[in-house]
Amino acid sequence: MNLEQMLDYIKSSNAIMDNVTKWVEIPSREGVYSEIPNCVDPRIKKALSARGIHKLYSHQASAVEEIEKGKNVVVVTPTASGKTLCYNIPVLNAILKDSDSRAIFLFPTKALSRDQMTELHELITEAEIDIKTYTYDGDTPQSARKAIRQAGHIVVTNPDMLHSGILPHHTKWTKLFENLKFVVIDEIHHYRGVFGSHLANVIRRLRRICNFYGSNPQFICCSATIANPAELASKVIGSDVVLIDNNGAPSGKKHIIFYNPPVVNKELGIRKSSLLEARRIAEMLIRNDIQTIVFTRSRLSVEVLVTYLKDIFHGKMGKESRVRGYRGGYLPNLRREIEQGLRSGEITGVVSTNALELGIDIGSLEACVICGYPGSIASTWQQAGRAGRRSGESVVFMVASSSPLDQYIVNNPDYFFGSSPEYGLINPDNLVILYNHMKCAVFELPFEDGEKFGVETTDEMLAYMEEARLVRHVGSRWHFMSDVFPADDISLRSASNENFIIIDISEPQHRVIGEVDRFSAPMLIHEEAVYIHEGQQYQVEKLDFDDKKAYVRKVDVDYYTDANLAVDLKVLDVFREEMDGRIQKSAGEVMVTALVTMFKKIKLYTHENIGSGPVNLPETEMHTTSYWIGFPEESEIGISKNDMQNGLLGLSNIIANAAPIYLMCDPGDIKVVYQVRSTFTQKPSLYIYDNYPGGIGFSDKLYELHRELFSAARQMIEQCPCEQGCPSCVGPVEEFSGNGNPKKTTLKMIDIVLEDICTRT
Amino acid sequence: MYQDLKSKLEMYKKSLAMKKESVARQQEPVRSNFDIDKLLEGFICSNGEGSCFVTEERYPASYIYGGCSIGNTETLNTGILRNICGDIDNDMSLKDFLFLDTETTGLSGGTGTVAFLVGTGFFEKGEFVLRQFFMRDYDEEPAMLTALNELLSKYKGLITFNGKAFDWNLLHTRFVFNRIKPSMSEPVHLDLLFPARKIWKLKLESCSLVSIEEKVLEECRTDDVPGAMIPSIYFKYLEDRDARGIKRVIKHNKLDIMSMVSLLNRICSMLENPLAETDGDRELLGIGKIFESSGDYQNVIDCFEACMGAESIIVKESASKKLSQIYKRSKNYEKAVEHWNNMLKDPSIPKIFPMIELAKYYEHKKKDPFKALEIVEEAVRISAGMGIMNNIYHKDLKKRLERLRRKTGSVGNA
Repeated sequence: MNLEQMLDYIKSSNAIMDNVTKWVEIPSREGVYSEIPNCVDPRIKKALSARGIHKLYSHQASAVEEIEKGKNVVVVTPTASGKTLCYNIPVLNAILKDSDSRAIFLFPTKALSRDQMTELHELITEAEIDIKTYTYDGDTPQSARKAIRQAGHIVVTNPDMLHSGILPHHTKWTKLFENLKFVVIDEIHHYRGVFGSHLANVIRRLRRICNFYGSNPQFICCSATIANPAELASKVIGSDVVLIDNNGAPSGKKHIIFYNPPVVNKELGIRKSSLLEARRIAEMLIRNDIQTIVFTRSRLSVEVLVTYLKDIFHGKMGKESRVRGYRGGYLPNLRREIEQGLRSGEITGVVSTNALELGIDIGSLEACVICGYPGSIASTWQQAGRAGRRSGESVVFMVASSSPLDQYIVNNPDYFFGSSPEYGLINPDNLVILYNHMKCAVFELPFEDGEKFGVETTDEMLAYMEEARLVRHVGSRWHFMSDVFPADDISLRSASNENFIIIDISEPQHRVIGEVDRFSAPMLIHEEAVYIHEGQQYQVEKLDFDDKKAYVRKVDVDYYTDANLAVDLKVLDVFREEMDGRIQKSAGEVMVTALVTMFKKIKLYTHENIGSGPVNLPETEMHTTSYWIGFPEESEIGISKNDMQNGLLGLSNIIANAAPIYLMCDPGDIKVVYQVRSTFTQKPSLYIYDNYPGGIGFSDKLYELHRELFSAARQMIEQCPCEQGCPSCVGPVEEFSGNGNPKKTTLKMIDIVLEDICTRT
Repeated sequence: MYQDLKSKLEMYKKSLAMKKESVARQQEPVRSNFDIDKLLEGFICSNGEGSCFVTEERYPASYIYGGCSIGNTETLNTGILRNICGDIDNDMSLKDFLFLDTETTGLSGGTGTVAFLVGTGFFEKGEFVLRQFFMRDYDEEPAMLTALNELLSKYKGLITFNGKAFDWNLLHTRFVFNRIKPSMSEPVHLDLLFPARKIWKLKLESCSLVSIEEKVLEECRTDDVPGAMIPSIYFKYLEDRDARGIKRVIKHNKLDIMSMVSLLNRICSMLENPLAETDGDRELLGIGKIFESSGDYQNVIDCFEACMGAESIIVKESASKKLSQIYKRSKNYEKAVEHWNNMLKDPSIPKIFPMIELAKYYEHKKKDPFKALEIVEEAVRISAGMGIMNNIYHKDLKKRLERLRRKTGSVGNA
């Protein structure tokens, strides 16, 4: 069956259609074109027409014109709308006008840089112009670096390399910084939360250095569709931007199908596993040779699903290698091989984390199966964009998991198909992030008295650094005074730059097969954990925590492992608080202590718990921002102690899942814990905190959205078909103690939170 | 939000386990009884950019350091030095060179690392002058660099130890940083680290200047400052103005320069008279390698031939190998064969390499595939007995064996 026949088959199959909550056909779209603006050099025009481009899409022309006027821009258009030309044309044009001009291109990943380089090279070759472009990243050979620093017109790199390899050595890049005309930031929506807060500070450092060398670059940013692209971009680059969103690109017909796995146990509200349903759909597509990408939310489910899908082809000659996994932690060569296989069509099915969500060229796939809502609408559209990039019909299945957020999305499709309600939040002034980047900034150039680095309190922070003997104030300047290289201490992507490496010791020749970040290490590679890589299971034999190495050996077992995290929390400071009816809500700072205590062995396929073991690893501490709610005593609201505990547990489950409806954050950016008797508030309390040292502003925003948040939570619970509670709403009923109905108890707690609204209105 | 910034930063620091940054508040004493001008002879050098502290010592040509009188170095033959620095012009003499060594606030490089002490040495009116520029605080850097730049303008070249990668690289960054145009932009740069590594890599565990000084020049430092401590000594001085630590750093820097002078002299005599001035063993092999990279083949042959009398097997083996290759390239097959045969005779030298070379010679030059086959068969037997160590040769041998068997029409029995 081809795709069209397949869709007809699906429509006629009740077994499938019963679970489809929404089927939207996005019709194909004609392109809207504009003449190539006059300012564009004839050589570029010639190169474009050699590629069959005689006119630009409307958004491309607008971008070229605004940039010509000297504006900073952010271009917001869907995947595969030719946004690359929005920056390639103006940048090449400027270099042709003045061959001293320089540009920096920033991409979030190395893979993406390599891809964009190829495209840029083709354009330059066709235009027959002498413009030198180089990638400068960790893989650039030492011998080539000098030439790049001197001669490269366009330096293609990533924020990490800019941060640790370029800015701290700016005197070697004088040509670049003296003549820097453009900074291109692609996929800027990717820089939200921690990463974005870091990048904003890297840009602050870049601007100081440009200022030193007398340049003042323009910024060209590209973003996927979010609620506030211009706001996010202007926060990242620290100045105003012009928004360009008049998309003129044509697109093929696209079917978007929301699929909710059937309820198998109404009493417990248990649905069929989304992983198994996604497997069934992917299997159907791949068997019919429809090239398919499956997105899952975690590395673990990538591996589990690859194992399942490979099983389909077990014993069929040559077919097994047609299904591959792709995720962070795979080494670069393996990734290249998989990308190539997708383009050439040798690979029919790939299972990926969001690693393939960004614009890496893997050709046009026909189908996309999203296993579990990716956490944001923007991500969902980007994943969906991997199918049918160019033209022709394509299909996207969004298979909901039983998590409350997934259930909310699958049952309220209007929320998804309406205009994006999601805000990309960053907090460039996060004290930890700011402080670390100020160290780098003062290393790069001394601060002048009165100079501001983003915040008004720059002087105060420098004075603190002086007390810490990191800087020295002499004359009217602050100088760096330490023998460390501060950029080495900061990773832009996580709280820690210290990765654990995973070493396979099955063969006499040991080899490194992957890596895991420090904070995930206790969860994923504790001793006896089963680590799955490329579908192969490994058991961790020894974890050397101090040297950050895990030694693993190949095993073949029918279970995987899942670790339990115990969290404790202490309030350090209160920024604001108010009484709201009988509820006290507060925002402030907290210290969170996390400890992995034990792990469970979960049987493959049936997912039953078949054993457990202890984990003895040090606890991790985190100081962050939080918003918390103190409830009245049990006696005041007339419920039992047991019900109180159940209610708080239900709330902590549902709130964690309701928050992402309003914030664009990754699953896990926000955590919720409860205390039946908080030592700080002296009340039954619920804490919602940012899962990053110093906080990113999530919980602070939720403090303001308090009522909306609890209303959404109520809606989620009420829409859930289960009777007493299930993983899709307040949590699985087995987690609760006593005889009460956890759903009702949780709803009662929500009523207490919202009751004064009722009395007021 | 920042009303109590300090306590907050401290809290973060604790929870993040940041690097230990002492936070004890201390009133900075403006003056100290041990400030540098009270402890060291020197003068304040002033220019348009401000001022810095300069010390200067003059040594007569007869002053002995590292086993030779320092004046010898002034008259060294720059012609022979071209073997270790190809950029030296015919008309240059040692008077055109400035010895240079820096002490810095860190080893990691990058724009936040500062050279706070720059030591220089040069010959003037029959004396060796050792002049050191010291910045008493960060704001003296422009003045110090300006003073240094003035001195640099009188010279065409630099002599350093690891200055290419470090000292000069760093100073260049400092000049750019302070917007001062270095008066020496592309100096002729004689970096002693490179010849030193060639000569002593096989002989010494470490080729650091201090270890060469001790083992080769036989000078022993007393009370020397470990390099790793130097940044913190400077930071401490900035705070308490007690220059007793700095005095030791200045001495350390001075000894580094004196050692470079003496080391250059030693390397130069080794180059001029390798057979008499080296140990006739590992050092001699190193000198031969220097001549090899500069293309002075007569000296290469002399050195490597002399290595045949060395005790060390490594020296003998690599010298023979290199010699035979040189002879082979210059088509002096008689000599080459002699060396291959010598290697075979010496029981301590592995045999596969000379056997392969001999086989090639008999096959291609002498057109004697039978003799070649005989050698290769023997080589295969030896190689088989040696296990995986000879893997690199194994493929080559196998291919050669098959081809020779085809050529000679013989049937293998292996």
